[in-house]
Amino acid sequence: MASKGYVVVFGRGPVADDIFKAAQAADYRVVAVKDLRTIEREVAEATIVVEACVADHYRKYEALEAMGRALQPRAVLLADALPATVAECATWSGQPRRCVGYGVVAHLADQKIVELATGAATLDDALEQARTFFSELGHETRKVGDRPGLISGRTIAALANEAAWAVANGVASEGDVDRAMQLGTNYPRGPLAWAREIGPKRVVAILENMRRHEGDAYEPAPLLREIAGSKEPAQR
Amino acid sequence: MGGCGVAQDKGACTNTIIVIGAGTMGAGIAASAAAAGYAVALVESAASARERAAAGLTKTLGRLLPEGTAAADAFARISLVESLAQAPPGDLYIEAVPELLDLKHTVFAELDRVAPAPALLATNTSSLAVSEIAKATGRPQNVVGIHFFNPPALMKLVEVVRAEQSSEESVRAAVEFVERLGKVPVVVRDTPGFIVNRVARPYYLEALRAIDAGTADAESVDAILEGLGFKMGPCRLMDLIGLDVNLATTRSVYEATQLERLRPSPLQERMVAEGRLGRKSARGFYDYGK
Repeated sequence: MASKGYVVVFGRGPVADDIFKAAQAADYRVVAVKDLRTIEREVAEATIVVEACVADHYRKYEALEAMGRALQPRAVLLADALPATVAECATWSGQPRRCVGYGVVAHLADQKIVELATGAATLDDALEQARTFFSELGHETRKVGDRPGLISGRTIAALANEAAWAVANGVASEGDVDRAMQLGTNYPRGPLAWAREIGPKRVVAILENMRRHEGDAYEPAPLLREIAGSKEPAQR
Repeated sequence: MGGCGVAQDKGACTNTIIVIGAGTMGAGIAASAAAAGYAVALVESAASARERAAAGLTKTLGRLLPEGTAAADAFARISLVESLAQAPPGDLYIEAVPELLDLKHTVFAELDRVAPAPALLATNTSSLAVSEIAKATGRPQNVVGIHFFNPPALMKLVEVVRAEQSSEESVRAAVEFVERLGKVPVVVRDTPGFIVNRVARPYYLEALRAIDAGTADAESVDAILEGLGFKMGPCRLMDLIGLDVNLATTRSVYEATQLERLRPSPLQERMVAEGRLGRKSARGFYDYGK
């Protein structure tokens, strides 16, 4: 059976794992790459290249640069656009015309709609390839503007952050904040339990992205850093 | 039923609840208390509001207690009166008048005169500091917040607000009262917006900012977030709540905290100024043609 295309997924964590599995189930030929040293060899064969580094900025930069070097002229480079903007990812990759940002907060199956965003130089056919790919994986897509955290990431991160600041300010305990939010608002999960599930490191990375572009108003609460195990040395 | 629910002191019980203000919140609180077996006096000076409340109580109690004569019995436990002077002495007073500090002070100064010494004095405020309201009484240690959510008869969550001056006994009595209503009390410190009205702000604000920045339109924002499991997208929800009501909550939390991330959205200010208030004005983020 002819496969739809050759997909390379780079990264660790639920975003990479879920896209890998969903692509496999949708009859793509797909390979998961976790080691940066082998990435160029795989990318050179691929039609769809997915970067899912999730949190670590430096690793993301290195990965996109390596992927960009080996990218085929007609391939699309899908960059995780929650911890960095599409403009940044496009620049790092050196392939601004082929780079499309996508927003998957954690588990692909939890999200009916996948947001897509383009950079200033992204070509229409690259966006079309991105749409087709996620649609084959069973997800609707919506194109949104290139804003830090897109819609999904920034909403969940900002809610988790407000909840974490409320705990830090002694408003109530973590458990009580989550319980109150679930009972009082019908949110699918308590914001802090949700942050733990997504991975506090990822939530902090999304907030840091918002903070870099929009200012200190989005400073991640110490509690989020603590549970992410990445407390700033200055605060020790 | 009846029985001894909330012990203020050893031996004494809370059996009579006085609710001041028969708007949506006051009437709903009165219905919940009557349904749980308390004797309730609902105090409302406006005759029209009393009539509306009586009709609303019948409906709410019918929904809460659908079997036999339970609803009628509960209704019989509620007396609708014009003034505090006409109400029996209460064990717990719950103020549910509009969110104006002067008005709340007037009510609490009167409670100070008429309420028995051990009575628990509670405010249902959502946006004012409980410690500020308590200043109108000579017994601030008896004052707590008991913050219900709309509609009060149905929403399980109640924030019990422990203010600086609230005694442990007062907080405990409030928690026991809420539990006896079959609701879930969460004790919260006396801070702007308490838990829910504060922590929910970003849900609305980030949507407003995204739309204002041209990141996405209201329909896309709603679809994306509903696709993540939120029951109602933020724009649809603001249309339901009323953009003016939602903005007032954001303003009060922002003014009290001065946190930049909670600053009200200029888009929402413009929409409210233009009368685009949501469903009630037939136009908000969406059109609701009349």
